[in-house]
Amino acid sequence: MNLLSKPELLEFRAEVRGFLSENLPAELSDRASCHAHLSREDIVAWHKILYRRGWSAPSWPKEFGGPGWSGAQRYIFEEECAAADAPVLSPFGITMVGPVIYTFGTPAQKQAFLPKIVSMDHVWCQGFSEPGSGSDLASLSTRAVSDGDDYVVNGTKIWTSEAHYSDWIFCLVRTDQGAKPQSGITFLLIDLRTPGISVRPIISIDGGHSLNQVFFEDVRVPKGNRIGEENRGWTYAKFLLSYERILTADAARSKRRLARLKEIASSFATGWLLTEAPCVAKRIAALEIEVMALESLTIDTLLKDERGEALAVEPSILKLRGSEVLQRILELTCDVLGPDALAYEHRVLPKGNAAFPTYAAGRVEEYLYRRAATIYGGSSEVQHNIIAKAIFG
Amino acid sequence: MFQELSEERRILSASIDSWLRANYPLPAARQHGPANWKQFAELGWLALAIPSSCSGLGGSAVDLALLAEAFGRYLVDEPYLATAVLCAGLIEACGSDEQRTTWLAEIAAGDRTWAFGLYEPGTQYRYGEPAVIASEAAGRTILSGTKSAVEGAAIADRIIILASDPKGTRGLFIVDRWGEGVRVDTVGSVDGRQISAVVLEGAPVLARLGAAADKISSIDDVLARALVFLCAQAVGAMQATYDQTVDYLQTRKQFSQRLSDFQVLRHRVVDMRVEIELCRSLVAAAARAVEANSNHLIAATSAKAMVGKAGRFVAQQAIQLHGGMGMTDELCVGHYLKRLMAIDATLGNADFHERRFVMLGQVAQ
Ligand SMILES: Cc1cc2nc3c(=O)[nH]c(=O)nc-3n(C[C@H](O)[C@H](O)[C@H](O)COP(=O)(O)OP(=O)(O)OC[C@H]3O[C@@H](n4cnc5c(N)ncnc54)[C@H](O)[C@@H]3O)c2cc1C
Repeated sequence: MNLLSKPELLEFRAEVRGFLSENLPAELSDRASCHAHLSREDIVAWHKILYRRGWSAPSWPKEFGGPGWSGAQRYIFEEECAAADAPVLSPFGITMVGPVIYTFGTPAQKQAFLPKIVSMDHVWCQGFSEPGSGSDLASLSTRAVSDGDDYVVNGTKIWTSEAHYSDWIFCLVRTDQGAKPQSGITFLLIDLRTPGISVRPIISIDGGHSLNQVFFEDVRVPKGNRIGEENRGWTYAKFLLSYERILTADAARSKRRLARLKEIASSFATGWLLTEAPCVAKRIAALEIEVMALESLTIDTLLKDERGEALAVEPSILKLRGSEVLQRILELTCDVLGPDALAYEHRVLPKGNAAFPTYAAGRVEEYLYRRAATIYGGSSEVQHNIIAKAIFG
Repeated sequence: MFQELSEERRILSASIDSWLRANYPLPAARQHGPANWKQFAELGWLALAIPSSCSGLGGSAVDLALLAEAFGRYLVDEPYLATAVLCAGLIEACGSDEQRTTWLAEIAAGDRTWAFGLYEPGTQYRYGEPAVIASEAAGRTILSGTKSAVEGAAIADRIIILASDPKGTRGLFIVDRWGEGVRVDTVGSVDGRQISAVVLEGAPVLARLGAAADKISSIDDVLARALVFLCAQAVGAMQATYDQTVDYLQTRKQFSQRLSDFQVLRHRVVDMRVEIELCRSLVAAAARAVEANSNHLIAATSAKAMVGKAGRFVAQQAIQLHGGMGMTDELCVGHYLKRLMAIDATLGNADFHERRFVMLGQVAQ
């Protein structure tokens, strides 16, 4: 019945679990469970631990340094990492630019970039969105003008997660002003230490710093850092956006969020009147059922993908509902916290203060930051449009 | 917020709005400190809900709602609720003549700030069985135990503590915030203010409010007024974030169209508007019920339940419709979400008040 309960998969799960329990440092999982944004040091440290085991690029084929896992294995790995509160791997190198490079890059590019993505010697960020171009990405206006062996780039990118501690940025830039919007775009890899680049921090509503605006002023980028052909960048970007979308439902992490919510709810059991407990239990149950459905559809879709069947609306459905469900879990967590949802800066107090329970630390922060889950990665409205287009043409 | 307002109240409302507009900067450019508090006193705001017999202006829940609506709109941070609504209300309702005359005059003048310790760790929003105990030791009354989620305690001079005395009577005891046996642990709150726990370790009681009778029903009455204050603040915040969203959709273009041209976004704004109109009306009705002291508990509870949910919906949609812009602290939309979350979590969230609605209904039958 359960697609993940084949003996070899059970064995694999045990192996992952054993590895995590021995190798995931407690202070790292502690920070990962309480903070929406981790430092570069923490992200790199965890990545390197996985790298030494050969697991730092879970979705990659063996030839480029991945473990060559099946879809089912990838899901199990996600689930175990989530259950152990392992830091989320930075997606920009591993799930975004890496596959673009090994699919469309030159041998020299593969050699220069892929090993450093797998080892995390390079931290990457994604420079797609611009102030004037978010949902309508193809309207982007950062320009690259050919000048000998280089392009000269001018313009700005915004909402660039992790840019402030990244080494490289992959960008969509306009190389042909006259063509149709999608046809004049080129895909460039840019070293963030190139002269002319500056990064302005953007503090998000949770008070954290992961977002940035990146400015390019006469930045010279060697043509050797162009992916594929000039003006065909949109094709590569579409490939990038369609890669590994199946796991965007975040079902594994939502299961963990739900488990945490239950821990909080049950630690209140004595404080609650009997009439209160069933109302909460019912709301938690409704969400648990939603997560089960998401998990089920995620696994079905992974298997379908593996059989080589074309995916239609599944990835969009998973992103759409997955982001909504995770937000609802976090809303309910705030509700259950009640007056404990008021305190925000738990860090300033020593642990063990009964009036500021440890289980509340970071929960409201997560609620606030994840309001973005229905905005980034294609907003819910954009996902609706994609699905509607598949239905009605 | 109200359909009909007297000329006097219209002037009050307009003057509050124009002062805040001119003098109260947006969150990013804001400075906290006693200066604003003194200003609030000079403007008469601290005296608004205090009876005229005690140096106040004798305003009702309706007047407070007008002030609160503006506080919501301009995201006012000062712990006004703690001193001028909760503690002033408790002193008025429970204090002796002398306590009322002295302390309410001090509050009205902005000379002293107060906080109210009601909740305790681990008991959510239930306050009926306080574990903080008032006992006699060496001829004086002392308090022991912990109060949590106390607003305004960090800067208060006096704190009113709900505690059980040796006979099991629930009374209101006053302690000196800076006195012996009183520790205040403070952290930043979700909406950029402060929230404290008050830890009492044999803290001497300065005075007990009024006679040694049970005070729970007076507390409920004062809370009804405080709930109206919070709800009106929420209505102000919802309206402001709605206005900003309407403006934004009319300026922002994607796919060569204004966002306000997309039908799905227009309908979403309509859903926000529907919530706000319903809340405004229900909150105004609750303010009148509290003013008239008729069915005021159920009126306040229903308004708080409605506003908690609607506030979350409206603020979340405002962020969603702003896209990435909604996620930056540089704009106000996020600040409205955080203020609305804090309002929901203060004095009983929507969940709690829905359940309380059931209980009150059963009592009435
Ligand atoms: C936390 C966070 C992290 C991010 N990280 C990155 C990153 O690392 N790199 C990067 O390049 N970008 C990143 N982004 C940007 C993200 O991709 C954009 O925010 C997103 O594409 C939306 O664009 P926008 O913000 O310009 O909003 P807009 O496109 O202006 O949208 C505003 C609102 O209008 C709606 N809307 C737009 N068009 C339509 C339509 N046709 N029909 C119906 N509704 C519509 C949207 O759904 C949204 O609700 C990040 C964003 C956030 C919030």
